Amino acid sequence: MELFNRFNLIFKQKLSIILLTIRKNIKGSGLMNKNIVLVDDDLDILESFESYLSVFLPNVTIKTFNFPLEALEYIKKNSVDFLITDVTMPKMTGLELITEIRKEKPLPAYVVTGYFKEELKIDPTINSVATKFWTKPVDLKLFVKELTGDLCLVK
Amino acid sequence: MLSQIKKLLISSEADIKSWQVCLSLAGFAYPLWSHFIHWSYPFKFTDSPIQRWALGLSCLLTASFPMIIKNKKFLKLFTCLSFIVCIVVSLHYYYLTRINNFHTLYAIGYFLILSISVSFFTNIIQSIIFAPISLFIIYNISYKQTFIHPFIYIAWCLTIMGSLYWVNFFKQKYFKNLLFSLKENLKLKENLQSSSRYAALGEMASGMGHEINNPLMVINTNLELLKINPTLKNNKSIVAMQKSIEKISELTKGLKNFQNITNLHEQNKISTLLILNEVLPILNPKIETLKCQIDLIDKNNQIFIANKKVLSQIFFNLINNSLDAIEKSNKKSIAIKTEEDSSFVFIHFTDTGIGILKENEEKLFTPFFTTKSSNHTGLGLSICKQLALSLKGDLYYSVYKGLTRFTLKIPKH
Repeated sequence: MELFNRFNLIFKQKLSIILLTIRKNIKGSGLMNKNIVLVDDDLDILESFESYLSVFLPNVTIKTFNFPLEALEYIKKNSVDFLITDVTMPKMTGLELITEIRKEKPLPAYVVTGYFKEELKIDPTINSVATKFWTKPVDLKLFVKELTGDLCLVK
Repeated sequence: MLSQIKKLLISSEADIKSWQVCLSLAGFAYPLWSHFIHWSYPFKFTDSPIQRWALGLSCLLTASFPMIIKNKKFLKLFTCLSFIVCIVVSLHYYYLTRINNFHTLYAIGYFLILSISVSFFTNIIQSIIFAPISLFIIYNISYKQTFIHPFIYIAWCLTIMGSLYWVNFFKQKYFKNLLFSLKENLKLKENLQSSSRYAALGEMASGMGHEINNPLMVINTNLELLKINPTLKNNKSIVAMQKSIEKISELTKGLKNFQNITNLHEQNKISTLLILNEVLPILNPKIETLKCQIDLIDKNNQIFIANKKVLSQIFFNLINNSLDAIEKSNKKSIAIKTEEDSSFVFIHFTDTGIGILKENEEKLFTPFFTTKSSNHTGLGLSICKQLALSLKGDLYYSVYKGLTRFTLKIPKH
């Protein structure tokens, strides 16, 4: 167990170093002035998620929406680079939101679900543009890492 | 044999039928047997042929009455009556033997006939053991009493052995399905209940997973935030975490009621409001996303006695079903109404959903029938029906003012 704990500590330290390098990279990279839209029906999740992301992505503007229909209107009118959405929401599911948006413009999106089903992946309209499925509770470090990578790809 | 009779008396339609066959067989065999005795022994008996056939006919009538009468109250009365007749018949024989100094030969004969007819539903081995023993006794008694012609003795043996053979033959040829259904019915019922529990679990797990993962996400992100800034006293995040922990604990409290139903005979004093208070928190996320309105019309707040766990499972399944049906319709509401009778409580679940096609009405309560997508097992309603029957109630479907309605009928006591 002691050995395991030691390895665990070393692993954590390495992870923190990686995260720090990511943070440094962000400041100088093309992540400047990117817009992210967060959609979730749970206010607590929205707040905590936003504050967490704003720590690691300081130069990215994050807009949060409690209702998917509001988010849809905002995305149609403004230029948005990335979408992070929940699936089960009132009046409109996250998947419906993505398909609705992609009728007009290809927007990369992350889907964060409470309960992941394989059937979600089958929908062809959603799989056409880079999407990833995350199950709650999300591994936040991995999430930020992947998100920064995908954000850099967005022109 | 007693346990066999007990099993036969359990109020299931198939069981009653088998029991009726038993009695009608005895009703035929009894007068025939006594005629045979009369023929083989040139004694003078006190009972006349008319008396014998009257008793046999009474057996037959008691067996056939429940087939005609389908009212459950009368049915129970007649089952009791026919058993009394059976006992009276055997007592009558005992009385006859006492009068005629004919020992227990008559009684043994009657017992043998009964045992054969009962062995219909047990197995061959038991009936084969019965025959030689009864023969041995009959032989001993008759040898001491009077002289029997060897021809009669052989005929006797042949009739008994032959009857056993024919009983088994007919049993395999004509009553195989009946027997199969008798034994399989019990097994199927048990299997259905367990598998239905699993199905309900599966559907609940998907909903539960979502509801638990959401607050876990809040806790996780807030903890990560505190990790980054441990010195900062972030009250907001702590409050959020506490809130989400409370959410989870509330959910698990609701889950308690959906434990395995091990004790069906447990009785609780309950009302519809009480059960709804337990069921609705679990279904709440689904209700909120659909923005569905649920009304309870229970004027007297009727209190009745039944098993709480079973009822809450039925309620859960029915409300869940109507929520599924409502999903695509414009007006979304479910009405739960209680009415009472002198002996029953009726709980109506009416919804404004898409309704049920006429061709599907018959198959509604059959297991594994579903019109929903592949991840539904089609067990919900069949389980509900089984559970309702186990409470000595019923569950049926009807159309009320163009709306789909399921009615749960539960005895008051």
